[in-house]
Amino acid sequence: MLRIFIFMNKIFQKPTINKGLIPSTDRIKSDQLLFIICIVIASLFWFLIKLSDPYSTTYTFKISYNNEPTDKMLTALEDSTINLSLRARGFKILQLNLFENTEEANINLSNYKLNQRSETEYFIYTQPLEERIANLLEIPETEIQFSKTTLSFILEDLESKQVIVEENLSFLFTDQYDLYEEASISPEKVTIYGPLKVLDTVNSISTEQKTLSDIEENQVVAAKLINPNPDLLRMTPEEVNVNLKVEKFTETVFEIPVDLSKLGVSVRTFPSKVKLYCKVAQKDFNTVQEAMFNVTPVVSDEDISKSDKLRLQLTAKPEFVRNVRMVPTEVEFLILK
Amino acid sequence: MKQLAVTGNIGSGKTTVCKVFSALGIAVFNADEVAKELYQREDIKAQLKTKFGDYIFAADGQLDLAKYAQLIFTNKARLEEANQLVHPHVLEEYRQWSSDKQTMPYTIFESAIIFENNLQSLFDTIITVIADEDVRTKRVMERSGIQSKAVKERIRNQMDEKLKARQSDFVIDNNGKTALIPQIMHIHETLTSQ
Repeated sequence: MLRIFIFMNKIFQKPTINKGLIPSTDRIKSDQLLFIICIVIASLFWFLIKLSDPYSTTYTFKISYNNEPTDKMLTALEDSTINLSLRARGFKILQLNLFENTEEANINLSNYKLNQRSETEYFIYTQPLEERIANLLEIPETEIQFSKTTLSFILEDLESKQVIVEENLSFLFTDQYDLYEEASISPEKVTIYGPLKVLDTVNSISTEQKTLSDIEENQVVAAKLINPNPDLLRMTPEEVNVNLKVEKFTETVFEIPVDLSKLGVSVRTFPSKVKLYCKVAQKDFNTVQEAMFNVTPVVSDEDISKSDKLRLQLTAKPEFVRNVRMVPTEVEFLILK
Repeated sequence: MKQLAVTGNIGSGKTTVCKVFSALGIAVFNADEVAKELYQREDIKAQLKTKFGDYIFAADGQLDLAKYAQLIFTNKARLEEANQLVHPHVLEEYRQWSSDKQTMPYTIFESAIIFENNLQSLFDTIITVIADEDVRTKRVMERSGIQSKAVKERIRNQMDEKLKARQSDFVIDNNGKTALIPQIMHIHETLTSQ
């Protein structure tokens, strides 16, 4: 110690001005650098010695599972975290903290024996997990201990059913163009898999929302399906095609006589004909005829004497006409005697 | 037998009113329809040709009703001239038509121009059918496919319906808001009970 003190004193002492002997500045700097290097080396050795000592530490892992049995689905975790206490050399703990995931433990269930506690409750022992971690970290198994001896979770039988697909697309057509027939979806049904209680709540699957603009020709649109419960449901397929049959339409008008044949009494209406404004695809324009439409009063025989006007309804029209507008929708009438 | 006239401006719904009377068993003389038939007569065509020229006739020699309507309905003076030319013949037809209907309680003469031609003295009762100008314009546009401007021009050349209503025995509101048949039934019952 006395030697070190003398050495340090020499390094840091103020240069004294002696007659005929002036120490150079370079010499002083060189001594200081040597001292710092010695300090660093000493610290490094001290750190290495400390890291070789054994320490105890605890990690808290979030548990997740994969590879559950193909006929079952994991629906809930009873033990979502687990504490791991281990005793290891400082080197090993440093290695764990720097290079290993110490926040989440993903457990491959296919590597473990599943034990059943009740109809849906299962558990695995943490002992095999301790062995695996001990092997992985190359530390004795006795130095590792989990806070729980088992990990519990709920596995429910995986059921399946077919449900219809509903498109959720918006179509914006160029002027005069419109859908010739309702958009068809291919496939019309998809198979969904999941626990029975979840399947029972799902009767249809919707496509994603999408808006298509300036449509004026047939189209096939791929649309992703929206999983209503991504944690508990799977779907096959996950995408469908929506087929659009598009035609150019024109508006036309027909004058149709009010059909009074079903009324039990002799009646004359004013006017006797109504106008039906409708949209027809150009390719059907020559096919559509007045005889394809039928307009009748809504009232029954008993009601007719109490009414001032007859409310009219369209009872027949060709499938290929649309947006039918009737003018007038009610007519005055006389009961003829 | 009483002689009744139903009048009203273009699009007011005279024909609908007359159809209801017809359904009640009343004979209706439609002056416009008879006039159209008269236009087929050679003597009438010759008089029209002299007054308005050849261009209102089609290549087959028949009166082009669209051109004729455009000519007379857009000018009050021409409309009066045309009426004076055709209406004496129409009235003659009416006299002949009504001569064999003496047993009926009343007959109806349907014409838009009862007052314009000073025919009111010929009838025992006059009914004017009225409707707002917008309603009439819409009806004519839908019925004839004529543009709004042309319809309004025709309306302007007709006598104000308020004046017609003032000089009438009965007024039927045919705006579409008030039921037509009860109004007609009231008139019918009044006339048949007298």
